Amino acid sequence: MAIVSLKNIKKIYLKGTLEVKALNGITLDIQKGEFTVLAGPSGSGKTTLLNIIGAMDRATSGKALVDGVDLSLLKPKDASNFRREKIGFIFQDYSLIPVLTVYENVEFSLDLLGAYDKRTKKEMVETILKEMDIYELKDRRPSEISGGQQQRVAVARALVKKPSIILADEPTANLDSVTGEAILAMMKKLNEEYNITFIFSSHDLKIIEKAKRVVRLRDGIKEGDSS
Amino acid sequence: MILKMIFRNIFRYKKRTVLTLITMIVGIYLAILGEGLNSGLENQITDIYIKTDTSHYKIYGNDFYLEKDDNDQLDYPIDNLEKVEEILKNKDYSKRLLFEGSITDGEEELRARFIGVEPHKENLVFERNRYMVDGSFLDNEDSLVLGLEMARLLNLGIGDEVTLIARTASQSINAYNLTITGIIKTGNTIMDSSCVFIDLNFAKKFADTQFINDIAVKTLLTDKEVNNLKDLKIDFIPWQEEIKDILRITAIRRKAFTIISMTILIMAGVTIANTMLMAMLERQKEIGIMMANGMNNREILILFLGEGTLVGSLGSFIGFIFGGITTNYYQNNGIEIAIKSSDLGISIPFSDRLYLYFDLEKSLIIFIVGIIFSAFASVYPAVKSIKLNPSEAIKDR
Repeated sequence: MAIVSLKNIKKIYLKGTLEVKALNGITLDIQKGEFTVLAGPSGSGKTTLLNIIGAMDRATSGKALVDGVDLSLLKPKDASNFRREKIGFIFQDYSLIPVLTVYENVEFSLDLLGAYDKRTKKEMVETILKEMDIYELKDRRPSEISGGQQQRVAVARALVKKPSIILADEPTANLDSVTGEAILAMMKKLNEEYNITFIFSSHDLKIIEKAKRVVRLRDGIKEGDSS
Repeated sequence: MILKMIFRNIFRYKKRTVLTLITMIVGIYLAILGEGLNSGLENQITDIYIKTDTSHYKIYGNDFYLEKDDNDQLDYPIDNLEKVEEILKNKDYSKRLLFEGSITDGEEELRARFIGVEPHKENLVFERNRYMVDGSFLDNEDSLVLGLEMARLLNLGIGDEVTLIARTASQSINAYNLTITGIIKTGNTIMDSSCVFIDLNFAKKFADTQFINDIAVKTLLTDKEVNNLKDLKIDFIPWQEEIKDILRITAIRRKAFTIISMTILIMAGVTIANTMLMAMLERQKEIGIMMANGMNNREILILFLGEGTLVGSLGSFIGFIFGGITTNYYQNNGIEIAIKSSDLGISIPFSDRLYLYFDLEKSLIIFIVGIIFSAFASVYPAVKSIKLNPSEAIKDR
């Protein structure tokens, strides 16, 4: 059974009185452990689709089943719980909480889960920080580290709670090519090691080439799907 | 973690937080100082009346009190004096004879309120000796003690001779020449500018009466004693009744103070609301990140309410401390008052120093109201933050 199952997903925004079809009937199945790239130019609907899969936004019509949960039935509180338990987000601009240290930003995800005692949390956070090679930076604030290091922290934060799916919106767009590739390689390694489903959006050809599966979008329509 | 974020966020925009804190500090400080001023004024007025004029209870002749401003007190002697004194046995009280008249030094004449007293008993009730600024308080029947303000107005001092003029109980005019033997400053500006103390025996001779018409009782009485006194044909008036008009004015002033204090606190609350709203608008993206990580509405609400309430509480606490210190200082040292009540055209006695009163209970209420206002002020920005759509919030730049 697919971990993500989308059937005829439509998302229509209103810009004033004008209707904008951000997604126009997307049907897509993603299997557990897949490493999938949503590719397409700006405005093609990649971010909107990621937001719908991550219960950050609601489809105007269609059916979205993620890890067995029908997203159209989620109330706001259930959507929060769904995100904290099942989804790890990584954003283009790292999106760390500026008042928290590197350690605390990662710990934040576990804190929200409320499932671990202090000692276990410490072990989990330290392990992932070491794995991401940012343990030495644990007491620094986001403003005190580089963009690449911030993105590693963002990946650590998304991974530490062992989510079902990691959704990454243009995770390498703000990084130089070397750092971007390193981050991507690291994500691939984690995907293989932990069998976590990765879905990320990109329009960078170098990145797209390295994906196992590429779903191409244009103007809210699925243009192609290749493995 | 939320608590940690609350603490760090309030120190994130230091200047803004400091400005908000100052507003709250000033609000609470002024409210506590205003309360101290109000309570001090109220206590001082009450205290001055009790210590200089009304004592705890007054006993008048039957039916005098109801229309006392129109009645001639000499027409209302205390008839049941023996029974009254039986009830007041072993209590501190002063028998007095009060009547109106005038005093002149030959050049100027002023209206005067003559108070005939037994010096020893008057001292027991009002501690007149303590307030003498010159001379002594009634050594013999021919002694005369003037209020300081009256002595100033007539430019008189110890040893000067004056003429006392009054209508007697039998409605004839009587006059005596006496030498001033003492100057008193009671602190009650009305008394100090109009009262003339004379010996009770001399007062009876002067007013041509054998009765007295006023008893001031210092000792607090039991309900039974009060009821026994009320059963006699006399007017028994506790101090609260005696100064009820003044208490009414102070109650109105207290309400006005409360309204002003509340207005100041509301303004401080609006500043907090504004600060929190700005923080919320600036941190939309951050709210989006927290939502994306699974933070729910309740937790975001706690975060914003906590930040506003913490800033307000901190401001309230500092305001409370400074307000308390200032009020305590002026409670001990007083504030010099340059104006007199007579200059204001009001008949409220207060001395030339006003002592504030730090009422811990009321100050704590102001402190708590400050915290509640801060919490309420943060509700709108907090509610606005949870209404954000996570996908929109995270796009914010």
